[in-house]
Parts: sequence; structure tokens; C-alpha cells
Amino acid sequence: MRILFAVIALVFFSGCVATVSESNLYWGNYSNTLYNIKKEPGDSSKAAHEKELNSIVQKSKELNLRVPPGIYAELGLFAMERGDDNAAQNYFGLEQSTYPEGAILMQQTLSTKTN
Amino acid sequence: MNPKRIMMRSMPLLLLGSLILFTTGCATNSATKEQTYPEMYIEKPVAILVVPAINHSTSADAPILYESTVNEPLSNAGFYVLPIEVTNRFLRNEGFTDGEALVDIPPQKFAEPFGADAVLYVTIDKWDTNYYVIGGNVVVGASFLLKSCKTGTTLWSYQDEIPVDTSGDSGSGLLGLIIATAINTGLQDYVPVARNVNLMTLQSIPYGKYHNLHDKDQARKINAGKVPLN
Repeated sequence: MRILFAVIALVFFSGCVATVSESNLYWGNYSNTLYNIKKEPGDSSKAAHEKELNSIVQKSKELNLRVPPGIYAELGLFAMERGDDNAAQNYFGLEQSTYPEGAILMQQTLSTKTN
Repeated sequence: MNPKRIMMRSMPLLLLGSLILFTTGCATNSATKEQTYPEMYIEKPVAILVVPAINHSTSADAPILYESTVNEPLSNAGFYVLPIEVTNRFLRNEGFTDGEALVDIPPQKFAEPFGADAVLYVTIDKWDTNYYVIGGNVVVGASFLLKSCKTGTTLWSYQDEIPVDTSGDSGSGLLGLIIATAINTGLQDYVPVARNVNLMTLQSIPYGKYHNLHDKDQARKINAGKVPLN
């Protein structure tokens, strides 16, 4: 984490504010663990991705950053798959409060409980 | 951890950062974002529905590589990407598993059920892995179309063919080297390639609501040789 910070600071102080926003969101290893689920679906790839999602939430909070789009929603899907509807509802609510643009979809997800 | 080690380990990221600065800031002989994509500044879409890719390449993996790596750069460009894992479930339940069947549906249809402002369609034309005696490369060709859910018109489009060197000895510059390193170390295969194709492509898009430069990047130059199609 400190490394990421150092990079952000270095880029920032190198004079161009533009790229900082590239780093306004912390993604960890998101693309890789997501790809692994699609490439090799199974309990272990799912567990790894869910762990990564939780770590992204935690790191984002530590860095005082907004949690990236879709992270809470994906955690909600995992909770839903486990049948933990309360947790799912909580996560979909967090997605919606972080990004009001997602409200319609999150409401739909709650009402249909598709799987 | 000592500062020198931090520097060393941050080097690739820093280089990538510099490269992004360079390519976004210093393109010459080209049009501005506003000249090229005026509709984006009028409509200001925020919520983007990413639909499954249309795959015309020979790689069966290409669509899932795209799907796994598009959220990150699109969100970093300031948009709210409607959670792809969620929207894909809805689309699957309606019988849509690939992008081919979705092109005939007017974008306006997605506004109400998904709360989408625009739909991002992608056609992957090429994902060719070439092996030579010393090394190889991946050539990725793709076209991107962002269509309005209000009017159905194209707000942003981009087509490109990007060769990414995987040998470590590169004609594709610094970025190619960085990706090549990632591939050669064998950990992540083609995720970095796909991620960087998305990243490079999205450099031309006018920034969305969640970006610091939203509505302030009209005069920014883009590489105009590779712009619209319909």
C-alpha cells in the first residue's frame, strides 16, 4: 500500500494532476481474480475473488477513497448465492448509496433475486 | 522498507504512469475530444451498461478477457459502470449470452430496466498470438461503440489494432515492454494485454462525472487516425 501511495505522490508531484484520478480508485488484483472465475469456475477461484473484493473495500477505506463501481454489488451476489439475504441487501444498499446511478439496477436485483 | 526499494518496485508503475501522461497529453496533429465526440459533452452519460462482446477473433478467451478488464479503466475514466456481473445475470436470464443477439435491440430499451444512460458495444476483430524464434506478440483489434439510451445515436466510438510484444524485445515501445515483462514472468497471461487495450482505447473518451477533469477536457487532443465508425 505504501508503494501505491509513493507512486501516486510521485506522479502527482511530477506536475500533472490528470493521472491522479486514474488512481482515485483502488482496484487491487480485481481484473485477475475476476478473470480466473470465468476461466476456471469453481469454489477456489470464487473464494479468491471474494477475498479480493473484501480487500479492495478495506484498502479503499484505509486510503479514504470511494469503493470502485461494482465491488459492493459483486459482494452482494456472493452473499445472495450463500442464501444470506440480509448481507446481500446490505451490500446492494451500499452500492446504491455510493453510486446513486446504480439505484434502479440494485432495486431490481433485490426484487428479483435472480441466480 | 527503505526508500530505494520502494523506488525500484514502483518503477514499472511509474513508467506506465508517465507513458499515460505522454500519450494523453502530447498527441500532435490531431483533433480535440470535443470536436470528435461533441455528443458526449451534450448528453453527459454516467451509467454505462457494458454488454457481452461480439467475438470475431479466433480466441475463445477474448470475450472473457475483455469482460474482466473493462470495468477498471472505464470507471477510472469517471463513469459508473453498471455492475457487469449483475447485468450479465439479467441478460442471461433473458437468453442473451453473447453480444451478437444484442445489436438488434435499440439502446433505448436498456434505459428503464437497467437505469443505463448509454450502452457500450464491443466487437473483437482480432486476437492473434504470434510466436517467432525469439519471442512473439499479440495483435488485438477491436471496435468500441457507446450508444445513447435516450436517442440511440453513437456518442463515442473507437477502433484500433494494437500489437503488444511478448518477447521483451520490443517494437511496441515502453508499454509493450512492461506488458511483456508481466507475461514473461508467467503469472497472469493475457489479462495485462486486455487491460491495456481497454486502457489505451479509453484514453480518447471524454471523462465522466467521477473524474476530476469531467467537462474540462474538451480541448484535449486525441489520436484522430483511429476514430469513428458507426
